[in-house]
Amino acid sequence: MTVRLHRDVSLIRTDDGGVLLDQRSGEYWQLNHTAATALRLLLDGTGEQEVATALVAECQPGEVEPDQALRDVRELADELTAAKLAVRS
Amino acid sequence: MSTQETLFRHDGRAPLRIRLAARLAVAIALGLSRLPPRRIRAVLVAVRGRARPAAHDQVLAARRAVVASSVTCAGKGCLPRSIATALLVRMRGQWPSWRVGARTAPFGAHAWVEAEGRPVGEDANITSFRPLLSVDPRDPA
Repeated sequence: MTVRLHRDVSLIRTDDGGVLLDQRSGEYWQLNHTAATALRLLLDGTGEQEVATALVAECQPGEVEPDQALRDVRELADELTAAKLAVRS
Repeated sequence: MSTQETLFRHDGRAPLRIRLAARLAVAIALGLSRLPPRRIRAVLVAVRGRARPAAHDQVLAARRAVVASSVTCAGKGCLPRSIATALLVRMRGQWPSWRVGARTAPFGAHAWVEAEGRPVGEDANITSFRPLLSVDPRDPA
């Protein structure tokens, strides 16, 4: 299962996160650092489990539980799909 | 400023011509600004055609003419300003790079034009914006 951005959506990375522009509506979506990192990995074809593992590795030991990280990654993918910014295939 | 002196001048009517062209560009740009970004982009790509890349000074002169002829474009209307500037440059057979970008911390979105690889008429803050949408001159194929 991969995630890709809708063709009318553009993404930039910034120093502390990222921004999505939906060219159909003109809406901007701000991503925090974690969400931007997760999205980049998902778009690269990384599986949700591996993305969660990478996010946990970025944090202090014990700061984020692996299960919570996986839920967050799925939630991000769900939100982007629901907003029609991304497509799961 | 009165326009009379321009009307009764006999040596070259460029100032008036440029002002009228700028007004036209602004009028079109104000309409285009209300469209979704992907539509604006499609229109600008069509308008650009095969126009050659613009020189920085030409674009700066166009931007000044646009700002001088529209309160909106002189103020916070960066989108109509950037579109009108590009259209006015196009009327002279050239095309700048048109861009819409954003930054975070603090969040901001902005539209601007570039020529010769650098932003035209922008202040130092422009460096924090990353392009999300661009219409560049066509590569000479």
